Amino acid sequence: MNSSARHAVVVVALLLTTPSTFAQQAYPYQNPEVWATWAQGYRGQGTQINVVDSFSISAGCDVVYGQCHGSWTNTLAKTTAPSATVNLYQQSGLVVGITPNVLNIFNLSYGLYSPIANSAQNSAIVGYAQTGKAVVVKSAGNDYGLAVGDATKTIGFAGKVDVLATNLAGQPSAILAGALAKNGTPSNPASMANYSQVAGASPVVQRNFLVVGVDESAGLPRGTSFAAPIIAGYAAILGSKFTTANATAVTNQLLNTARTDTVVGYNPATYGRGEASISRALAPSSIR
Amino acid sequence: MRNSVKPPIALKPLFRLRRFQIRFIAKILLAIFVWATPIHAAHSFDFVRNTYLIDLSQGSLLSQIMRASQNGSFETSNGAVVNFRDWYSTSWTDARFAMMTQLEPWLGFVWGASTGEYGQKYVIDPSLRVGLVFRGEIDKNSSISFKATTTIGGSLREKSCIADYGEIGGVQKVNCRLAASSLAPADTLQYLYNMSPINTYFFSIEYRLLF
Repeated sequence: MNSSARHAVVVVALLLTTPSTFAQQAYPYQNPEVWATWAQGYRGQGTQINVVDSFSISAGCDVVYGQCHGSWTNTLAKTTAPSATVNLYQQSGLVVGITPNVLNIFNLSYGLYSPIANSAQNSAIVGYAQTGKAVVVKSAGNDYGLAVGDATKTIGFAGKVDVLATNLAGQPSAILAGALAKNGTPSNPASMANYSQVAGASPVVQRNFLVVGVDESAGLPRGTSFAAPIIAGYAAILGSKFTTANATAVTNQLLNTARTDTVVGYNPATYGRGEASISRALAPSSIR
Repeated sequence: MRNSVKPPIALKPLFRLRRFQIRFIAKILLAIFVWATPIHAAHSFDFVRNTYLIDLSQGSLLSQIMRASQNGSFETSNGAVVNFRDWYSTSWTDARFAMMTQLEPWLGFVWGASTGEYGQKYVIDPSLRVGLVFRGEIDKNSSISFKATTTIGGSLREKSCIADYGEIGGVQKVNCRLAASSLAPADTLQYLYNMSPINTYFFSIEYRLLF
């Protein structure tokens, strides 16, 4: 579930750099396309995923299935792109800088319901998406039946709008991540998960909206929080193949190659660009 | 993607000989020259009657490798299916023959050639095969023979493709089979097949016992 904003009280950023040797292992919740991309040994190396989340029970993290919310997003990013460097940053902490000469990817699996100007950390990240300095992947939100940009029904924030989502919509290197109930295929298409917010009528949001499977039956928790790190991992895999591509090009490749034939009754107001497909994103548009 | 298949014309690689291959061939030719002196010529050597077919076959390990490559496919970023069949199929499979001309009861000259093979994305060069066979009687019922041959040419060379990755990667030369993999396009080129025939140098010892 998306955590609420705690940006006003936390003043110390926690940075944990995890080694790039996370075990390469296939998990049942993953799209088999991901396993195929590992076959030649390219799994996100040379890229950096910055997971901004809550990681400490003692600091009051959201606990999901016995683990901090951030442990799940961290695990999903690392299992999708095992060779990427994954840095963990405490949500609402200090500004996270950009590392030069590598593809920077941010994973934001939370919403923000107070003015973005109050959060230096989030303002900086939105700036990176605006200037194309980093791929910024943000969860769409779990208000089922609502679109991105609608006022939330979440207790404690009811009536407020997720300003992080609205500020990222339309930015050149931002992706808003919705959740499908499973990984889709043309012969067995997937529906939107029954908690995920949809893209909505705004063409600006639709342009940046992608979906991926968050398969509960394979052991994943419910939430668009867990769609975002999968897409962040896809961006890392792309960055390890196209080593000179900038964040905007990587973002556009994921958006432009999304599949619309693997979801039930595709329409952009629900699915945005469609289901992210790492195999199509890696492929050329033509070859001779 | 081109649909036409050119005939197997690749003479230039035949002259890509290694120094020790040249020495080996020179020694064989020298032996034949020495043998073919006027003394021997006086024996009125009948070339045709002393020449035997020892090998006639079609296909090779290199051909099989390219046959196996036909089965691959991938989807482009816009969903079009790219099959490898057209790239790695051929209208003529590499065929070879080898003859042995018996120069003396104890000495034979092996010679032969192969046609080579051509597909849109690969070439197996034509080849020449030369060598010698020595045979000695041990006793009435047993003999031993030594055979040494070398194959000149016959290498497999896979061609690259030109892939368009659009905004993210531009137009690049790639290994056709790996264009959609997670390998960086330039890194795929090191996996292009570039192989010599498996029997470039062939030595055998044969002991024959009649009982």
